[in-house]
Amino acid sequence: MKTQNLIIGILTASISTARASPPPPPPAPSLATLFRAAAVTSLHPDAPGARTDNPADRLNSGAALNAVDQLTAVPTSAGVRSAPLPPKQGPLFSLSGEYNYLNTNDSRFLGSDSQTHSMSIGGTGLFNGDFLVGLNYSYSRTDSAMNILGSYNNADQNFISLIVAKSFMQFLSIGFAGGYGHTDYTIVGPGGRLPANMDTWTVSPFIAASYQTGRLNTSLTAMYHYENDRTTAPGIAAITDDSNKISLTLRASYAATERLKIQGSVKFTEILSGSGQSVGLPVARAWATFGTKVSYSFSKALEVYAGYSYDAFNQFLDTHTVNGGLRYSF
Amino acid sequence: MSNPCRALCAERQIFPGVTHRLLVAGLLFVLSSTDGSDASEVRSRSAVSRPAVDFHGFVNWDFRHRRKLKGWMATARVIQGTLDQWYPGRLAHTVMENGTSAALHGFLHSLPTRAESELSVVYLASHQSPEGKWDFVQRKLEPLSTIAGDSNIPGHPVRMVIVDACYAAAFRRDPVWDSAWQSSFLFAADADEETQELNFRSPQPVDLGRRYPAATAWLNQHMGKGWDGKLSFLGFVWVQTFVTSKGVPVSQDGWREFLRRCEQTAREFRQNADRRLASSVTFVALPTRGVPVRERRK
Repeated sequence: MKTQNLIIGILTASISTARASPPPPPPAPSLATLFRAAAVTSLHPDAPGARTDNPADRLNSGAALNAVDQLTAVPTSAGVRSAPLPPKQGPLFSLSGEYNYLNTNDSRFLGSDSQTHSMSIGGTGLFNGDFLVGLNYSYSRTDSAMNILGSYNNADQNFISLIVAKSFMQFLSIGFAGGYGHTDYTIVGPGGRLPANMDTWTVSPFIAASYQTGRLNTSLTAMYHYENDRTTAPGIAAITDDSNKISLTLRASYAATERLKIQGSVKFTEILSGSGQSVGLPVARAWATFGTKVSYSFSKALEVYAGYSYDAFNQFLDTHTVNGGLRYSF
Repeated sequence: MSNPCRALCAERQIFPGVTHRLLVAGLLFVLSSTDGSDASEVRSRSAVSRPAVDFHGFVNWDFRHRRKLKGWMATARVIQGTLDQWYPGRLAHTVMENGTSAALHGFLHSLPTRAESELSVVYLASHQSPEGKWDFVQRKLEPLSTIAGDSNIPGHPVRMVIVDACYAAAFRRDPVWDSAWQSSFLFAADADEETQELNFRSPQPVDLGRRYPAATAWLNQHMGKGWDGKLSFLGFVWVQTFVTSKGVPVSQDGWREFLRRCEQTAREFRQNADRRLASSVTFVALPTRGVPVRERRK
């Protein structure tokens, strides 16, 4: 009973926050109204940008790391490039597809555990050996079980991301990824079904330094991630979240054979700022992600890979990710 | 920090003593600074009265504004080493590193005549534009054919000029080039393509150690532990053709056969190993007509 009162108290407070309207105080809300408010606010137990299973961050980060890999793999040539380019010096294109499965366990009282299946496809063009442009699209399906009021939700997430990057000399890459995403939620609980949706805008500039010696290739990538999320639902005032975070990714890959490569990575993420306090949930400010990846080239053009990563040292969220994909270059 | 104008001169050994290096480097630096001076004055001579083969290299590699061409410097050492193995005790060699365009002028002008050597091998490497302009480490772009045309290169009936740069064959467009040299040429790339660096220390993108064990063994034995495994594509082609050669080329025909096989090695690499890392190595033979031997202008 005490817990129920606490929940209702929190939800009432969150409605007031969401509406941001001055007194007089509203009449006592019905259970259905409470549910609707709870459902929407529980979409944001913290800013989406602060979650370890954030799809926009995953898409931008993946695109950036892929760009760094491609730019640093360009061999040294003894050329002074000028326009127009000679015909044999054409661009290098690649197409890729990737599947991700994420399992997140939220240990907070009002948190939500989730499972995500995500597919992404993308294409890049490497021009002049040092300039990369890419476009990526991902579709994710997230099923969340919320501890609040025993409700759950399904989210269909569509994201598109554009990336531009350029390398300098043999070791430095600079670029940015940015995109737009739209999420459709269906929230199911004691008060019925509630549709909601969220629009997301992201910008992620990054800089990377790479070094290769023999079989070992290392890179350090620093990325800033800004994300704006605006959630709307019928009868509920829109909720806007802005989050800012930085990440530092250290990767080392070892070329075992001409076809096989093994990679290990450590990513440190820190939240600089984010609203994300709509229901007063605690937010982890920093965590580390440890990952490994194995890739195999069937030919010079076709590469397949599989990976696993785990978000450690996050106070509240445990996320395991497995993924697999392929890349075709031509 | 390396001296912008260094030279290595040695006889019968690939790596001369430090003192010798410094002395020669100092001399060539002074000579290059005075534009047009004759670097042959400092070319050391074998204890043998007349060496059979002269190898002269001019390599721009230590760039600060572009990618460093360490692999091209290693290629100069590879060519020098193979010649030394083929003609033991009969090789004189000079490799000038990171010289100015004025130093290149002097370098070309001081190439040996027939009276000084029986075979002259010249190795030229730098960043190059599709228009045939060479980039010098001093951030100066100049057309190589113009430099060659102005250098009054001494003629030699058995001279082989190796141009190891992107768009290397672009020089053939300029008639000044052929008339300045009157030599056989080995170009590392067509006029419309780049030439790349290979890495023998990494199995990706091509496991050179597994695919070309004989060349790898030769390089490991002769390049020393300090070598980082990088070689220009032409350097790979050269050493792979060298280790698969049955005999020493002792005549012009022998050299023609060797250089034709270099072309073949490059083609096979493109077909079997990696299309993007390969470039079209092209041998252009000395015209069959008589070659006038032009003595150095005094």
